[in-house]
Amino acid sequence: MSWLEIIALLGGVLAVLFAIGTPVALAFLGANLIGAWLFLGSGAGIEQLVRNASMSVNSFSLVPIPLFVLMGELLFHCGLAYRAIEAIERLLHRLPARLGCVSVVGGTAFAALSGSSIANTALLGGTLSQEMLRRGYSTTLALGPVMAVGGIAVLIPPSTLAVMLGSLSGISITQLLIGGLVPGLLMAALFLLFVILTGHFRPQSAPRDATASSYTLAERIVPFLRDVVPLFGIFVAVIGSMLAGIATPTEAAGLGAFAALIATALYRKLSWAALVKAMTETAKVSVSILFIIVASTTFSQILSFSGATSGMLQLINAVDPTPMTLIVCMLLILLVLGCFIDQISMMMITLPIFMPLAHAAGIEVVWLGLMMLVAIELGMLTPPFGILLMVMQGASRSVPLVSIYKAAAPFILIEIGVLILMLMVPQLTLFLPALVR
Amino acid sequence: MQRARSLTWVMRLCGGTSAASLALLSILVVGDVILRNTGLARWSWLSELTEYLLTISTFTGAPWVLHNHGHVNVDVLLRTVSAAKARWLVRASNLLGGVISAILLVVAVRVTFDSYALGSLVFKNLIFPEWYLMTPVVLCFGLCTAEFLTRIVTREAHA
Amino acid sequence: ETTLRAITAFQPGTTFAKPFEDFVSKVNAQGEGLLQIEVIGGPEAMPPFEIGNALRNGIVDIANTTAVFHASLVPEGVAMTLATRPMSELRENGGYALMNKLHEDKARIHWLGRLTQGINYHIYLNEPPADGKLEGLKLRSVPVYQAFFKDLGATPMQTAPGEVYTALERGVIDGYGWPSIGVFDLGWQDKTGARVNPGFYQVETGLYLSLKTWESLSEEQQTFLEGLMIETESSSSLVQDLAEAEKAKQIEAGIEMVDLDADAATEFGAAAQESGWKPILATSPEHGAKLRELFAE
Ligand code: NA
Ligand code: NA
Repeated sequence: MSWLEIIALLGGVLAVLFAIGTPVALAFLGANLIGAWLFLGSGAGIEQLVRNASMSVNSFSLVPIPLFVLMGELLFHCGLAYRAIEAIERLLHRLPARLGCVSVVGGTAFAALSGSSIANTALLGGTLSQEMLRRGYSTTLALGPVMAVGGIAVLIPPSTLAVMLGSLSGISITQLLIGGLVPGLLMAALFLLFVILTGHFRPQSAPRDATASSYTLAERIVPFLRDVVPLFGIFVAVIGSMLAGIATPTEAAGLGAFAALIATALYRKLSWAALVKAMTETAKVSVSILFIIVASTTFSQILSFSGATSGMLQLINAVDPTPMTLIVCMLLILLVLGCFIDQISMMMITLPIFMPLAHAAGIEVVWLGLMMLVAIELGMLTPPFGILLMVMQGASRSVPLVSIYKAAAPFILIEIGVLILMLMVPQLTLFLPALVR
Repeated sequence: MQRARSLTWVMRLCGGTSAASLALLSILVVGDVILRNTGLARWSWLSELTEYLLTISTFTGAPWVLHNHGHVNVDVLLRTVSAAKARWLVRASNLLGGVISAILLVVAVRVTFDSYALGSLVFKNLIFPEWYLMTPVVLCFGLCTAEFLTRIVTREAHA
Repeated sequence: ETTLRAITAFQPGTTFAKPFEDFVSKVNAQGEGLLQIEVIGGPEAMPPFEIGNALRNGIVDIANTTAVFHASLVPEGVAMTLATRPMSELRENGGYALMNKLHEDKARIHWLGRLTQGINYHIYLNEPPADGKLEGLKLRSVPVYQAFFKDLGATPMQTAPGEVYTALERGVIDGYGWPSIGVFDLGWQDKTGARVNPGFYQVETGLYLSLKTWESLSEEQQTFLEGLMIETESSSSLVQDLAEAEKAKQIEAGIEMVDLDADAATEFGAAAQESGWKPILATSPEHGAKLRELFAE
């Protein structure tokens, strides 16, 4: 079978199973069964599939996901998050789309320390987004930023994905991390601007509490000092333990959850019932994410094994090798692959082919690497299958998937805008690395 | 109906196991940091154990999440067609979901026995028979099959 | 003409994929009309720890991997990493034959031979140890040498590959174990300040075939493969040159060489062997003892 036929077959099976509403993980597993039978070799092939699937989440790299979710659930189910949100609403009363801004700023902050956009979206999507929906915020403001800040997460250090890209491609990790700062902050600023403008021109998308305007200055500031400021302690626990050399980023997520537990105890909100509830919700959200990872990881393995991905990659050799067209084609390929394949696999598959081409065409690799990171992250966000969309759907089961697609759309456009800007103005990414070279 | 209710209890037990595994995982991660930095002990198998807990939690939790309709699905078509047509789609997806789970169950059982008969070992810091790690997978697809069967028999039409 | 479907456990373009790529091009050049190898993919197509099972079940015909990855099937295979004798000697003294027999009996895998020889593992540190002592250091490790690090008095740590760089930078880990070559593949050289000499163990990567495939090959095809394999094994002085070149490159990149004195070095080597053989002897007392006799001096 040609690569196009393989993709059409497996993609077709997936599309049908998706359309009739089969859970995404089982739909992938269904396509995997057919793929394993055809390409790995009938019965033995399916046995191999089951083996690969059963070992696929046996990875330390995935540990931050439940830990970050737990951090959020603890704050949420013990009522701390609710009070903090209330306090911010009061303090920033005049700011359009207040909580939307909080999710961009907070998301960037968490992104800066988590390095995992899935963990980040799961943390905020299960907590802040739900509270925003409850307060009548539009889905665009409540869900969009929380999914999109992952794009910032990969650019602002620490970024596991940037380090992996550096390790797999031979591009200097230090340069990648420094180079990501400016485009990452630019993306954050644009998200913030979009959120504020939306709140300003469509006030109904971020309704205000009518009584809030009558509060005195003290009534605004005191709750903030009491309910929000101490929570920065959690942030300090996570960032501080990493900076002090006490914990790796993964372990820091654990310390963050631990700090959240202590915070709930200090606020006298910790009860057995709340703890059980938080643990149960953590399991629900984490399991739905990890089960999709089981299924989609094995799917991308089968796709690679069948030769479909390498066949598709051969397209790049047919391209006119001027730097610009080459880069655009590479980025387009990543966007398409993002529909089927996880980030790490995407890098493993494409880098051995892209890097020699880039070197031959004289392309600045730090620049290319950073654009690849944005494209890979975009792949996680674009319909139909973007893992971040699925994570958000897992966190808010009552919202139709179409609304989640719609909520992500403006942010996808902004990210594409930043990507084009990075492409047109290489200095945006390259001037900081040049300073330290 | 009786049988469906006892399935609910099994599912709750699974959910409890899954949540408890994650709780233990969190404790181990924090404990590892504390032990290492205070120099109280050096248990290099702690972080290995967290990986296994992740596997256990995922596979025991998956049928419970399925039972509670918590798995993500693409509901674009389901929400646009008429209620009657949507019911048919749901039945079709339950049937296919059941078939997929049942095939995976059979294969998982075979792989587990194969691994048992062969005496495969997980050969890291902790050394133990590999088939231990397969049992959550068998449990997972067994209960997923049971869940879809129940839905088909009770003609449940919830997406 | 037969075409073998191959998989590699090592990312194309990295150090340990190279000897395999060379082998494949030799086979495809010299084996025209007889035998060809088609590489299907790397770790993105088959998880490295599953390659052993894929060979056992005939899902792939041949693989570039290490026995460490299929230790679940043949725990004794780790002995190859601990070997102190060269392959030429093992082929003479029956060590190769015994190891291959264990692979064939236990896992339906035929061990063709070794692609990497004489490449040691080293301890790399983010800065030179203050008093030359390794005790109390937090070292990122993998199961093969975790027991050794622990016996040295260090704290072995499991760190996700994507986090090693950050962990080194911040001092969460003081160092890591890695072969004498390939540090630059990962980009960790920026955060590496020292390397401890001598090394310990030797990196084992090799060629493994599905036994079913091996038995289906004609005698001519088998002889052809074996001939090329032995030729490759005996030319492994090339790899030694590579290690020397890499050492120079590391020094140039600012990695300080910390040499243990002669006594300490001997003790270090002996401790490594002791820690390494312990789990093998525990899991497989009879074969383990025999293998130790044949593989280690
Ligand atoms: Na980050
Ligand atoms: Na996508």
